Amino acid sequence: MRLFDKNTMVKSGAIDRRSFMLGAGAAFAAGLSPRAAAAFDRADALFGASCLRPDGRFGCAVFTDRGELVSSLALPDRGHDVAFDPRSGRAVVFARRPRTFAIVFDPVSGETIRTLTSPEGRHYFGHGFFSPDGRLMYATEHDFDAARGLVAVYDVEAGYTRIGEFDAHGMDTHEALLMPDGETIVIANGGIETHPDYGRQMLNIPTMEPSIVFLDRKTGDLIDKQLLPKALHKLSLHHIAIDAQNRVWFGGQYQGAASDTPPLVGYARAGEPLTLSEFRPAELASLSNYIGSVAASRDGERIAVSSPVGGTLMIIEAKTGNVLKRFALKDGCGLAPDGPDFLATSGKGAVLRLEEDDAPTLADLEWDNHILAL
Amino acid sequence: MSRTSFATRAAYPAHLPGRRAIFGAFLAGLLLLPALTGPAAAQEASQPDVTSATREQKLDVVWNAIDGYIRPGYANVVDAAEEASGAMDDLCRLPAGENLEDAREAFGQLVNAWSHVEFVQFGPVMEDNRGSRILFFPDRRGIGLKQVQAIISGKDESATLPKDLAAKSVAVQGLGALEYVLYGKGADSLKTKDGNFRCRYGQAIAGNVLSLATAIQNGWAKDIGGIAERMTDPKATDPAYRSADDSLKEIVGIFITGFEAIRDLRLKPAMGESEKSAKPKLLLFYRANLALVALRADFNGLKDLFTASNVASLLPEAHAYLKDSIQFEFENAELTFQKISPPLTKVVTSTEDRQSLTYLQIVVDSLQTQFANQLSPLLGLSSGFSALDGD
Repeated sequence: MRLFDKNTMVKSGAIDRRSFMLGAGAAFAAGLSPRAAAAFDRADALFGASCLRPDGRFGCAVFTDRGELVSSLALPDRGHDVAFDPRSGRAVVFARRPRTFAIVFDPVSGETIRTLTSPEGRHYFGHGFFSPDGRLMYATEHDFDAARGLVAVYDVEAGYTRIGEFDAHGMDTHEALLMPDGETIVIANGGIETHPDYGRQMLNIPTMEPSIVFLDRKTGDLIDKQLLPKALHKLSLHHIAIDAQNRVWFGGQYQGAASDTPPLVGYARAGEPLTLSEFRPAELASLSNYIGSVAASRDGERIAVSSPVGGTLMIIEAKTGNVLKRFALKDGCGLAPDGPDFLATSGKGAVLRLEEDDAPTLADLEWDNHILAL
Repeated sequence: MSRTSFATRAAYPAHLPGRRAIFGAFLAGLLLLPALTGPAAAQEASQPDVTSATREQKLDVVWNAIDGYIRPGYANVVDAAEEASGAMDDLCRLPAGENLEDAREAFGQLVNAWSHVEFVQFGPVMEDNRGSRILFFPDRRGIGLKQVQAIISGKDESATLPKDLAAKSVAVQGLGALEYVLYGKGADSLKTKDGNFRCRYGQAIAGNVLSLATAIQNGWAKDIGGIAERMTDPKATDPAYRSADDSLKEIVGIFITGFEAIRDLRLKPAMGESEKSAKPKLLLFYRANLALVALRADFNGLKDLFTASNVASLLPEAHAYLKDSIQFEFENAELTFQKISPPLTKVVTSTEDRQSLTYLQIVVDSLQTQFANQLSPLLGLSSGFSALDGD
């Protein structure tokens, strides 16, 4: 399976249903209950996301783009993003910061296969991905006493043993993805200092320094680090997606005065300064200085960004940076490619196929910020 | 349908009006943006547990908060900073024990005034890092402390010039630095000419806090074209204040931010799990023995905001009891404060005295829950599961 083929690579682990069925997906479908199998059969794709369940427990769910549940598992606390390895058919859900668990599970049954715990002095930042051969898993982590972001490396075949860590060259290392070359890790460092002793409080706003960093995935060597212009140092960069031209689109969360109207979206390429997109004032205003999630379409020609604060989803043409479409979705945040379009979820339970006139589905739970196309 | 299954459109039984209402409300939020105004109003009307207050009523609460709490609160900070600045001038002119006492007294008043409004974390206080420059806390890795000590030991003259000081690290130009000047190692030198440099540094800090507070006050004073107008006349083109709900959310956010900060930044780190793991030096203003003063002012400020804004008037009638419930907890906090004798550094390390602080933590959690999980959703402001900070 050419998971990281330039044409299909949109976000780590994202593949179309056909490829999925050719690989681990066949076994996946065979293991489903009749109802879930029927749901799967109708679906263009499957998705995984953390959630708050109706029983009041945090969990992780696998579902179709019509909001039908395929499986779910309870989590010990709030989860964040999900990573998927199509070779083994296993998924991992990472704890939301500053928590210390990651759970390997079977998306077919929702069965927990293994619970990982970050080492002493570290917690997960909530994102991760697998190497193309499925042998290694990478997770963003926090060395919190030193306020240092890391990408930790886990050996999947050795039972997810943590075999090393790379310096992320910044604080608040949030989302990390593998570039389409299969060799380069790209990292969004939010730049904000936190420490579990102080909950989720931000401790260094006046001096924060977000960055986009490129690392060699085998050696951890720094390939490039790009900062925002000084005037934008309070634009925390947490979320990224890669387009068809290997540009890494980022969405920012502004920590400065609300009277400021900084650009919120842009893209990075190793060796080049960051490029910021200009939106019209009304477009920018609808994002409320906060982007919660970024995703690329399967063909990499369009980028979707969401603002749960502004209740806005926006689709951008990657080539030009122009806004193609805007949707309103209260507390809408989760985004993933779905067929030629995008799927969106909200903290109020919505599952919405963008670009369709279909009524959205309202799930009986609350979705966390991200969805992953399995 | 099991509790964990998904409610699809077909799965909404017609005999469940609550769900239908929610779903209808949900649909209303999904139309393309240009059609937003009408459906948004329908959305509010269709939810019985959400306030039916009008835009005007919501904006009245915002006005009340600005006029009855924020503006007078910052005016008090300016007054107290003038006093502190004057007291530092006197001390530098005449270094004597009595003037040192006056300067310390004025510092205490300034801490009190600032704490009263410190959880207003929007508007002019966010510009030019003014809030962080007035108070940078916690200084988790002690970097600010080292910088202050280096200024004093190295007699860095540039730190005594207001313009140069303002350009230095946020940690060396505000209340934390002034506390160290007045109470840190070597502060007794302020009683004599030996402390001249230290005093002039303190004088510059007090002057800096005064000019920062004045700038904040001026920002709020503008009736036209400033933050007050933006919040009380929200417009679709404003990134921060597009609707009355956005402005109201900012006001309610003061409580939520405040109680979270009291819990996560002020109490929990210093208290630790037990008296043995307590870290009294993590208390804000522990050197000046003002930890309790600051904490009490935090509560008083939030209570004043609750009263002055009359935010509880927006609650749906069936939930009006929440006002009394919140007031009851504010009173519990006050009664608890009356039982605590400073210094807090001793309180956190004493098995017996800790009880009152432990109870205060419970009160903080209760208030936090009432504002974030009850009042806020009842006002239709629930930020939702996704719209939390950062992730």
